[in-house]
Amino acid sequence: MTSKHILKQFQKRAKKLDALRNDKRYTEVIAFLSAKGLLESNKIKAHYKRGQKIPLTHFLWAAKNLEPRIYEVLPAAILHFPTSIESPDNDLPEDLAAILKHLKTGKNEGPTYKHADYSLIKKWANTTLTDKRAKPLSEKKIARTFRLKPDTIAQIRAGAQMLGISDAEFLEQLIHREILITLPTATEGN
Amino acid sequence: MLKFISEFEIRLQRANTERASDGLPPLSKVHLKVLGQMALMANIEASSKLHLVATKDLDAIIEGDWTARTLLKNVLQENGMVYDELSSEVWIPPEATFEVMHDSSVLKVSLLSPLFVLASKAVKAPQKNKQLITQAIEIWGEELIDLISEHGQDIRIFLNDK
Repeated sequence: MTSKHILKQFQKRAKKLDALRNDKRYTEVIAFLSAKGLLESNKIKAHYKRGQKIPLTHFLWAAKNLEPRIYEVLPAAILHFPTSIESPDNDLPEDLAAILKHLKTGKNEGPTYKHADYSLIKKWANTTLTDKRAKPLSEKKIARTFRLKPDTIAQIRAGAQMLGISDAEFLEQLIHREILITLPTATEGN
Repeated sequence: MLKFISEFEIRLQRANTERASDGLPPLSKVHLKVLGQMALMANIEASSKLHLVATKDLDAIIEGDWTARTLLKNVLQENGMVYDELSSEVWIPPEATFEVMHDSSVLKVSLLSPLFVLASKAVKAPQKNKQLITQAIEIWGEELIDLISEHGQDIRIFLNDK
């Protein structure tokens, strides 16, 4: 038989949590994450006001005190909606910054963030959201600089022009075997 | 959840119509056993009593062939959700019961009963579910405490701040 004392302690704690759920920090964060398709709530309506900025500290407070699932989706939220989440002097907590660095560089493995496995966090970064402007991380382009021989560059240009696409698109399609063409050599083309 | 179920039902019906016109037998009836947070969200009693927040993944055991699984994942994706491929690893208390939410000729959807969803979370992921379990114990009381304790979890950890 459970002691009445323990049950009373749970009741007291539950009432405290109920009061915290009315805090604007919590309701705003859940409403935002729901509106962006990262979370779903049965009691708080999805809502986001265009141009609204929510302090990062509110997300961290809500996650720590009421809903740890926020930690799972917070990195994805920061990556997809950076202008909606404010951090003081762009200063992120070290552990969060580390996760974001791993995600941005496409790493398959990374550290755990507040009990959430990296694989779980990465899943949300790569999911297609209801806000279609947010591309899954796996589809975002990353800038790279390559040094290539002039002849190679000429061939890329020739191929891209032939297909009416950019040099970068041409290379991507070649690598993903979406096009198979035989290019004239630079001398043959002249 | 209801929207996703009705869309999945439509896809299954459509698939069977196509199979019939190709002279193929219909897909075997799919049984979806929903676990985790979505099981709580979809349960009328639990959803009315608890403040619930869920990530957009579905934990569910799928009894059905590969075509049905593919259709399920497509419907989930179109609804901004993903299927949790680790669903089969979710621990379900051996004495658990399921409640039928939907039952047609092509699809049956059952929800793991709230008490067992909560016990599973309390035993296997206590840190992530501290606040939820606290809420739930206030509502279900001794029945939930006993179930959690029977499966080896010390309920006092839900009273700690750390």
